[in-house]
Amino acid sequence: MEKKQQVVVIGGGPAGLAAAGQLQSFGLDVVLIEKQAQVGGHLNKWYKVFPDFTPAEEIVAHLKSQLGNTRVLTNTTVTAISGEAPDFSITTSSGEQIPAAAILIATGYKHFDARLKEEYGYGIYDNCITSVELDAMLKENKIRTLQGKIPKKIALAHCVGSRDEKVNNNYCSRVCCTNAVKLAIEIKEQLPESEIYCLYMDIRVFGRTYEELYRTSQEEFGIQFIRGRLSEASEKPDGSLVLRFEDTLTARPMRLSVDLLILMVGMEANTELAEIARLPLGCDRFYATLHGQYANNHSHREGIFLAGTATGPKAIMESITDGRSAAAAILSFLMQKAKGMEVKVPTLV
Amino acid sequence: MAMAARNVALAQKQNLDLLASCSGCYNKSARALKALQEDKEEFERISAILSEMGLDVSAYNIRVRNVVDVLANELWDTLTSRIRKPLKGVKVACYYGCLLTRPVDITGWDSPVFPISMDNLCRLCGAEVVDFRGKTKCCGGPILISQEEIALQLTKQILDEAKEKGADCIVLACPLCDTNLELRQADIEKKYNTNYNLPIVYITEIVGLALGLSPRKLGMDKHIVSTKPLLAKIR
Amino acid sequence: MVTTKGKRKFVFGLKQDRLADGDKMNSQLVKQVVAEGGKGAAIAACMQCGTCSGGCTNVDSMDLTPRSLVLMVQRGDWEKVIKSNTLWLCSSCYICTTRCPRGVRPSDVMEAVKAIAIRQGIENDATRFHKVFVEVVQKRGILFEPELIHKYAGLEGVLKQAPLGIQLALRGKISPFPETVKNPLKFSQAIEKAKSCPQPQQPQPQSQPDTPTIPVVASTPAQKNSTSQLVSSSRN
Ligand SMILES: Cc1cc2nc3c(=O)[nH]c(=O)nc-3n(C[C@H](O)[C@H](O)[C@H](O)COP(=O)(O)OP(=O)(O)OC[C@H]3O[C@@H](n4cnc5c(N)ncnc54)[C@H](O)[C@@H]3O)c2cc1C
Ligand code: SF4
Ligand code: SF4
Ligand code: SF4
Repeated sequence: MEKKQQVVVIGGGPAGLAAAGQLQSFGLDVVLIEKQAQVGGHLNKWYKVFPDFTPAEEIVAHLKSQLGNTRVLTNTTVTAISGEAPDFSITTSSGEQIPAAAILIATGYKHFDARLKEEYGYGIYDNCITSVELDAMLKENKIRTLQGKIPKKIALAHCVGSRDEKVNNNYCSRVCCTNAVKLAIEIKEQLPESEIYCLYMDIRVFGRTYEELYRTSQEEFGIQFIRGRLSEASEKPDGSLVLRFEDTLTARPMRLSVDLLILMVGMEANTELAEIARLPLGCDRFYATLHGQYANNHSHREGIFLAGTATGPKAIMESITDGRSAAAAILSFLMQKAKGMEVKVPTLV
Repeated sequence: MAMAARNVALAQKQNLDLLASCSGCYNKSARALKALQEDKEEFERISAILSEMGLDVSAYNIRVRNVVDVLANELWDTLTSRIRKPLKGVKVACYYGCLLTRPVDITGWDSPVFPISMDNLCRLCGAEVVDFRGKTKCCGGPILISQEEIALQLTKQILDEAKEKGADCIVLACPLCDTNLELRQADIEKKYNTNYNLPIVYITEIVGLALGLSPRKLGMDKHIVSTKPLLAKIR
Repeated sequence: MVTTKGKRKFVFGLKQDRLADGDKMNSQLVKQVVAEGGKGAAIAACMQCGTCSGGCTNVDSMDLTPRSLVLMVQRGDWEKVIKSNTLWLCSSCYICTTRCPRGVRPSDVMEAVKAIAIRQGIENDATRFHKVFVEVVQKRGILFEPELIHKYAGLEGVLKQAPLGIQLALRGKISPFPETVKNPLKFSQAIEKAKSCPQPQQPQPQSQPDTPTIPVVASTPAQKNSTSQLVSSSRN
């Protein structure tokens, strides 16, 4: 390569960070654009992550240490993308024009808004919280009800905003089952006296060592798993909640009172750049990739690549791997372009 | 289905929206209309029956509406300017029941769990609305005759909550709910040895009172559970 | 799925009838229910999550939860379905349908199964009320409450409800005299026609020797062509 080529990575979560680190190690100029004041994406909210309880901070610190001389722009978003590969020009919210030979979109996901499941009473009942809020409590080592009491009975409701036609999200968010198992263990460690119930439809713990984590939660921590989707919650005058669901394995309706209800909110697509980048979406509203089997980092536009949860729910490790795989795809693309070769991108049939 | 469709067809013939005052009728009519509009097979099946009755309608473009829907979404501004007698100091519990809001794909407005349109109307009328969690619980109306015991229990839960929250009356929009909550109140009181004396009034009556219509004209004296304590509060 | 009626014991003390005979599973019932209830009663998508049962108004008194009922229909176990009290305890509150994450409409499934059961001649308080209701409406085109109660619960029932009725009548809430629609004869003829018109492609399991038949659980003469017989056979 004669002249150094510049790649712009949009989104500084684990996927974007990993990709930027990898791209600069290839000798490319990299600009990382992050909307928030800090890079790290959702990891900044997590305490310790499954499956091995690595502190989320440690992961962010590691990924940041790999950035080399990547130019990081925080508090910045993209307002326009003009031109075509390999001569894109990106306009940022600060008004800067940044040339790019290739673009990587790693803008991640959003949490499902639990208020939409009205029958669970999130935002109405005092002691109905999301898993995101629980992580904040765990960080402080302070799991309390709104009334300031230590909760004795805690339920985790799986699949909130996922696998649910009623909120228009038919897909499985993939991480929340394992996250629930992890959270249950963490609660039990901080509050050994508590009783914890997971209300699930299917336990989807798919990754390496995840199943072991599930087993540990049963064997060593006595977490109760009840197969039945939460149907409704109602509040008692003292702020505790009564849950109604069916214990489907005994085929009997069940009523359960808990002090704290935790909703395992799923992921929703963050596709705020879809119009700016002119990219199509899949039926799950995440960005569509060029091919589901062999071109998962390619978008439908030449020179624009995708990584991480922007293309569907992933765990951290998968997001990082996906970011690096996107970096490799970008390098391959730029090398072929530089040689003036016809770029062989898988095309849609 | 065909019977509900008959009413829909009669309305369509006159090119008028169908306004139902009962939630059940509203629900069935809305469902019939949806079938007539969206399901070709159903349309043909029902049309055959209707033409047997001497009703021929080829296309449906009317809407099936409900009293609450119309009051809240069409007449809001008119009402706002005409409130004469705000119902200061009256606490109401709004009861929506099942069929007004469910299933959403047929009714398609407000929420199936915590709807607020009727609450807003009552607030507009100057009343205080209590935080009524049982607003969409089932009152057991449809099984009242065949499964009386269970139906009365369901009704009781609703009355219990309203009373507990300190409501002066329950406001609703369906005659069948009214049957259960008002006409069966005495039965429940006897059976469970309690006392409610909780007036059950229609949303139209509340609106009427706020507009300054005379209680007599509104038929407030025709209730089985006396509305006198409620009316006394308004004076 | 109960396959044998007898409660004979195996040598090992296992009850033979605990064993489900997978070979007897059949999809006829699903087809029949869908034919009866249309798209609303489609249940193939059910993932057995139990949301419907969890929120159900009357599940505490049901012997089969709505989810189990859907499952039994899927498995083709008509006997369990028809014997359960679930059908008659459902108050059509639509909570299940509003919440089902897979878009199944258990309330409509109930309705469809009930319709099949009634056509097969099942008799109980609930069906009798439904039938009488239909009969009264059919006659006048509009409901006349005292007649309804009379036909359903006899003179005794009328007397029991009389104090309430008198109160209502005094307050002008119901009329002691019946009303009718403009042309009751035409109306009832059309309804009659609607009832006797053939149900959309309903599979006839009885006529197929290799598929298990759906037993008819009924105490009255079963399966007449028109439901009008059933209506008139009710006690009055
Ligand atoms: C409740 C919950 C718990 C989880 N727990 C775990 C766990 O314990 N272990 C695990 O392995 N995984 C876990 N995950 C998954 C993990 O959070 C994700 O895999 C990971 O965050 C995905 O990384 P990402 O880079 O794709 O997206 P994100 O983390 O969402 O990062 C995207 C970044 O892009 C930025 N951005 C967005 N839009 C723009 C824009 N227009 N311009 C510039 N920047 C933009 C955002 O600010 C953000 O910094 C969990 C997920 C959830 C929902
Ligand atoms: S991972 Fe588990 S909780 Fe999350 S959507 Fe999938 S099945 Fe539901
Ligand atoms: S809610 Fe729907 S998917 Fe779940 S068990 Fe009931 S019918 Fe099946
Ligand atoms: S419609 Fe019937 S089955 Fe469904 S929740 Fe209501 S009572 Fe239960």
